[in-house]
Amino acid sequence: MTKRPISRRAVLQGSAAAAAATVFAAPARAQLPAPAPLDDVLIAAAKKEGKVSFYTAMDLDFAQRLGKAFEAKYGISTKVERSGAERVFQRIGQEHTAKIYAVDVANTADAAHVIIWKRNGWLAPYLPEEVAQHYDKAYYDADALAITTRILVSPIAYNTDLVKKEDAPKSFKDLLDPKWAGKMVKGHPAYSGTIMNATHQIARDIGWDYFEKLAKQKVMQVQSATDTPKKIQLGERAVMVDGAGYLVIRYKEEGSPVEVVYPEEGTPLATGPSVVFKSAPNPNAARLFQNWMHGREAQQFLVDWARQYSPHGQTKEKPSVRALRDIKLMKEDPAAVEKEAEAIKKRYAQIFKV
Amino acid sequence: MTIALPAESAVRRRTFKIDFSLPVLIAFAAVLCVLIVLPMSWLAYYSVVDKAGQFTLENFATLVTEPEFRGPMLTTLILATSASIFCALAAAPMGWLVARTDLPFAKAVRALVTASFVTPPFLGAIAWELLAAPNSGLLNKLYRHLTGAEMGDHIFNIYSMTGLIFVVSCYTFPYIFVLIANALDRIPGDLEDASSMLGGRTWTTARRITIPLALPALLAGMLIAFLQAMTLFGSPAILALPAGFHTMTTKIWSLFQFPPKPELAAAASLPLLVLTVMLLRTQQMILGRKGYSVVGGKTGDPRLIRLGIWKWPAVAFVFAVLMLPVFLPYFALINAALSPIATTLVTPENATLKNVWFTFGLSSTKIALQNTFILGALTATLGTLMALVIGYISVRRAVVGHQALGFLATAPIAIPGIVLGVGLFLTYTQPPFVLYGTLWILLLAYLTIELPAAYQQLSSAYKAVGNDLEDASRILGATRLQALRHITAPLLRTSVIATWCFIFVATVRELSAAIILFTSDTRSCRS
Amino acid sequence: MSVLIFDLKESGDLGAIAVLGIMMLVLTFAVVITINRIPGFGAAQRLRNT
Repeated sequence: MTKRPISRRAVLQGSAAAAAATVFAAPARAQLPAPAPLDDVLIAAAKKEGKVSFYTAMDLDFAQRLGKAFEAKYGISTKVERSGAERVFQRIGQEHTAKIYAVDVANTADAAHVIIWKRNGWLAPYLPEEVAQHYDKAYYDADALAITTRILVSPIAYNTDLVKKEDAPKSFKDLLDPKWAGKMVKGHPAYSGTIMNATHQIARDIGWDYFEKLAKQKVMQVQSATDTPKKIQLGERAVMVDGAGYLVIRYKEEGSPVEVVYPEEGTPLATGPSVVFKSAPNPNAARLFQNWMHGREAQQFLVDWARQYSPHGQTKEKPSVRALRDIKLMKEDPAAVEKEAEAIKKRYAQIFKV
Repeated sequence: MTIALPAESAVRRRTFKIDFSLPVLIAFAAVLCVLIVLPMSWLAYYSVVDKAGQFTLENFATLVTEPEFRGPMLTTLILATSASIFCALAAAPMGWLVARTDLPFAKAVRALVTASFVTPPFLGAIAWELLAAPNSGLLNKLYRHLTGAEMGDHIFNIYSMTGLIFVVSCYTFPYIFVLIANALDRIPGDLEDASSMLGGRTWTTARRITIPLALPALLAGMLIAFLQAMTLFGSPAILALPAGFHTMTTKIWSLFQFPPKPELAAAASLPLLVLTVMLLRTQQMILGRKGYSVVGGKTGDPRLIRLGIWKWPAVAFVFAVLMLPVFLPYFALINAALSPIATTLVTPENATLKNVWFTFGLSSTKIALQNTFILGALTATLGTLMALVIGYISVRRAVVGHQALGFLATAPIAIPGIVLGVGLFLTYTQPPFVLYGTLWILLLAYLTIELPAAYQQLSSAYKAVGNDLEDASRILGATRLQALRHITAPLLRTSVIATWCFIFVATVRELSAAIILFTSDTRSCRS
Repeated sequence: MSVLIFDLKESGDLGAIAVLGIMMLVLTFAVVITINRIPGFGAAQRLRNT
């Protein structure tokens, strides 16, 4: 194992270059494991195990395709468990407490979870070669315990059949206009990691009183950040306050009457890291999956099909989508989310009554 | 069906010598205690301790003082009361029309009521979301299409208290219907004959004889409907949360979100439990006093009232009611299954099977189907076996202390699914029994929930068979087990099969206990 | 299966819910119809006897 001491300074420089926040700015980079190649030895060992279980907060349709693509390539049956990031986190916690080790790889949409899992000592270090080569250091953990798989934004969006372009909201503040009362849909921070981070960032940058005013607008409350785009696609509500921006882009490209708005105050950001668990029942298949998922092929699939932003330096985005660096982003702060999550959920429930 | 009646055989029989051993009784009593007493004790214990395990009444104080709990309690009461009234308004006339009049298609009506009875309420709620969501709902789209109303105008808003009450009523009214139709079927024709012989006209007879005799069943049915509406989880979770309010069940469920607050959940479950026990006792008193006084003689066939010119309006009424829980929702589901976007009307041009392929491609679908079958079959088999033995012991009074067994087997009827879920969660997430995350804990939950109905069906089957034949074979020298195998078993066959199927169906649609007890691993059937 | 449907509901995958729901109903009806085929246990009698 080669030691690669990396200074905090280098980390900060790396992250400054990145559009995203410094998710994995650990105070001291202890030591990274040697970058692991995706070689025949690993494939053979993984095939021997024959299966892998992947818990994720991605939209089900994509998660399933990702699993199927892995299955097709390596012949390893992939069990995909999809739920909201906060639910996934809760499940893994309950399972570990009950000493049930069912999860191999988990992908969340709330980087704060990694902090807790890391503190509990549940994660296995693993650094795929491609990640070491092509990922900005801001996108993987100092101890290689987690790798950012996807970068999500939670913009506003609207149904273009129901709202004319010139009438569309341009900022979060615009949504407080009485004309939007009863016309908005919103996800829930106790379910979705994306929404948890969005809630934290909006409360920090705009203030909790924003939510108090928003709650008077008869907002339809759904659970998942992947449900709000579906509700505006159906035309059930005209405007989504928060949710998975990538789905809106996908639906728009499929011909649905939806449009994204990057709010003036800044667009909430959530990075979605993936981890391999120490207790993984299929340790080799888990590593192969983690390696493959962060490789160029799977990452390009993530960009092309799922329309999410990739941390991989070599992936190519279509010109039609606004690049991450051109969006005014709110700053993600997993450490703060980790500390405040419970208080956020509580306050949110008080304001929105559910 | 959750109708509690104490299993009491009215006929005195000669007592057997105890050749059925005491160990059997003790074993079954122990199993039942584990099933029922253990989780309920933990529930009670957790409700009066704090996180550190110290005695406190703080949990109940929170329940009463915090608006975040008072709101849901009030909502639940309003929901349950209104649902039971609406159900009665729809079910009572329907029950009467089907049982006592020459209504055409009466058989079909009964079948359709059975259909709405076995439709999982949460599925109905989702279907009604497709139909009556204010903007995307099919019915609202139709309304706007017909009237040319503006987008945003709607006649139905399912995400509201009224919407919730409506949907809950749709899938609760069969309980009342069944009880009323039962009671009316049982009223002997002789009574009505007597009335008409004495000069009472058809309608007088109905008013003076039929209605008073059916009234206890109606009240009992309303209580059952109240209980159902109060303890339902799926429909409120689907319809109330988007509208921004909680009922007790969704609130209890939300207390399990991270970080879980089992103490509060336990405290919040107890009022549901207590209220259920009280209402069931009331229901027993009502039914016990009147409804069954005429059961004894099922003599003459009921006189069917001729509807005359009212025939077709009556048919229209019945089918209009049945549109709501059956035809419209099923249509919405089929439409959503074949449509590219759930609430777009399917046409031959846009019909697609992509949803079907997507669903069957999911890795979780196969596992879920597998688990549903395994759990359903296991629960049904074990539940039927347990009910057979317990039923036998208590109906034949085979062992001293059989009453206790009968009582224990009927007791879970008073435990709402979500309360049982909380109790089992508390019991089996800690040593000595860590079953959480395995299929076993769900098996326990389902067994407990379904046992009362199974026990009632089978013990009444035992009573119907009677034990004269069994006695005869024993006199002729057969042992008790031989008598059971060659005489009683064949006679009970149909009841056993029916009970098995009944438990299987009920298990498949159970959600409220499962939602608390499921982990993703359970689905993988790793246990 | 009911829990899977509920999970799908939370993420808004209505098409999949509809397919699973119909499967569930078909399964249930198959069982109910089987009961009614058993001689002596027709729907009407069942309603009366319970």
